[in-house]
Order: sequence, then structure tokens, then C-alpha cells
Amino acid sequence: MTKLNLPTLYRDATRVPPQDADLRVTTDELLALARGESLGARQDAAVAGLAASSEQAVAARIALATQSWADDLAAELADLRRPTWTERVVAWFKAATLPPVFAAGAISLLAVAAWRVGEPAVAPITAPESVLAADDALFGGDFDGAIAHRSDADEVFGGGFDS
Amino acid sequence: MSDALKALLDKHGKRLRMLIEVHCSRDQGLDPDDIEQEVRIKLWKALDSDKNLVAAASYIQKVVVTTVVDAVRRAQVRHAESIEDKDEAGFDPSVSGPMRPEAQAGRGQWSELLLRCIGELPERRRLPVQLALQGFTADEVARLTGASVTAAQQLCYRGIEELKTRLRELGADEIED
Repeated sequence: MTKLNLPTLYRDATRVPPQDADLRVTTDELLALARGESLGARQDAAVAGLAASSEQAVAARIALATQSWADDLAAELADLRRPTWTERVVAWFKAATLPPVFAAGAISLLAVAAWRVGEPAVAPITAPESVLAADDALFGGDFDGAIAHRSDADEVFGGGFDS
Repeated sequence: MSDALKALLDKHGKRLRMLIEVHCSRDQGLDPDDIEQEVRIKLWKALDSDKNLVAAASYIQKVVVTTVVDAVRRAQVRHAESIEDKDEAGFDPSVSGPMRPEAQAGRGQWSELLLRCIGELPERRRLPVQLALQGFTADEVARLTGASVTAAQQLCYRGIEELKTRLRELGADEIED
């Protein structure tokens, strides 16, 4: 009984790289095909090259399969390598062709600014008394001395209670 | 930076290994662990030596593709060196019994017969069938050939059925696709 596996047989039969130079696909062409770009006049020959060579086919399949993986890794690498604020300032100073005097002046200004920003506030703390008095509604009314000194007899017991 | 880069490459390395395993390790003699390790080392070296290198997706893919191609070539050399000692992998060695002369042909002969049968297919089916046998899905065949997915599926299916019929006539008893 003869049992055949067509893909295995075909890939075995196409292990040898194509003799025809037209059918040989470069890595850049493979990546362009994987991105769905057209190779123009080379398109048909390149696709025929993938069909005719298991080596090129496996490379193309990997290029197709790793596209989103490569996008994700590239994005995360870019995040990782993004320079910090300090690095960007340093790079700016290096890149800018300021005369040394201006550069020194700018550094001094930055230093003074940083010192001013970092210095804690030392203004005297004063209690806002007048504001408190004006806002205090509990003691806002006038004190009526006449009521306080009233010595009328009690009214609960009809004035009959004699303490 | 180095620790963060290592962690990042570790994380993405696992996914790459899985992709290689799914897409090309079965019959190409490739080791996904080896390829992942090699890709990781190449990326690490490139990123470590050039701090300003912007590793675009295309650059990363290029590293992967060249690594896979190198691995395929190494595997082919190993395969060529050991081919005489191996059983004919296209056949089931556990099956014994009388074989027809056609069926006694070696794997190489069956490969030649297969190529001849593919050559006899109608032209519009030939390329889709070849791409399907190389492992491309119908979606990928459609993308590469510019056909619709439905057309690609039909061309591949009918072409492979035609191949099976022809190979059965030539003596193959059981054919997997």
C-alpha cells in the first residue's frame, strides 16, 4: 500500500532553490509581498518563485505570520527607547550650535529658575482675624445688656415661687 | 534599559516561538527554540550596539526571515547528509505487503510524478495548487495571486482533487493533502 502526503512530497521536490534567477525572491520582496504590496513587473515571477521553492515559501509564510508580532515589538521597543525629558534637554544643548557664552547663560538661568521653584515659601503666617470676626455670625448681633440684668420674677409658677 | 530590553525580548520571544512552531517547524526540520534564540541574540546585539537604532517592524521581520532561511538551509544540508539512512518518509513504513511496481518507486520518483501531474493541470489551477501545497492558506493564495478568496479556494480544491485522481491512477493507494 502506497501512502502519500502531497505537501510533504511537493516541498521535498522543491527543496532546491530555483535555477531561474527570475524566480529568486529577495528578502525585501518577500516582506513587501507579506505587506500586500505589489511588486509591479516582478509580481508574477516572485509569486511563481514562492510556489517553486519550499525555502522561499517558508520564508514568505513566516513573513506573513510575524507581521503583527513585529509591529507590536517595534512599538514597544520605540516606547522603551524614547528619551527622557533630561536626555532631550541634553540632546538639544548638544544639537544647538549656541556660542558657549549663551550656553553658559542659559544653564545659569535654568539653575536660578530651578532654585527659585524649589525654594519653600517663607512669608510670615498671619492669622486672618478680621475675616474671622466678620464671618462669625454667632456673635454678630449686639449684646443687649438690659435683658441680662432683668430681675423679673419667674413666670413658670405665676410668680409665686419664692426661692 | 538592559533589563527592560531583556524582559521585552523574553515576552515577545514566546510569541515568536509559537508562530514558528505553527507555521514551519513540522516538516522543515526547524527548531523553534533555536530560531527564537538566534533572533533574540541578533536583535539584542543590534539594539545594544546602536543606542539610536530605531527598530522598525520591517527591520525586525527581516531579522526573523533571514534567520529562518538560514535555519532552513542548515536543515536541508542535514537532510541531504542523512537521506540515504532514512526510511522513505513519504510512505508508511509500518505497512507491508505486495506493492505494485509504480508503488515501489521511491519517494524521489513520486515527487517527480507529482511535479509532472502538477504540470498537466490547467494553467489557472496550477499556481494556486502549488502555493497550497507549500502551505499557504486560501486567504494567502488569494492575496498573492490577486484572486478572490472563494476563487482561490475552488481552484486549490479542484486542482488537488485532480492531482489525487491522477496519482491514484499511477498507483498511490492513500493520499493525504
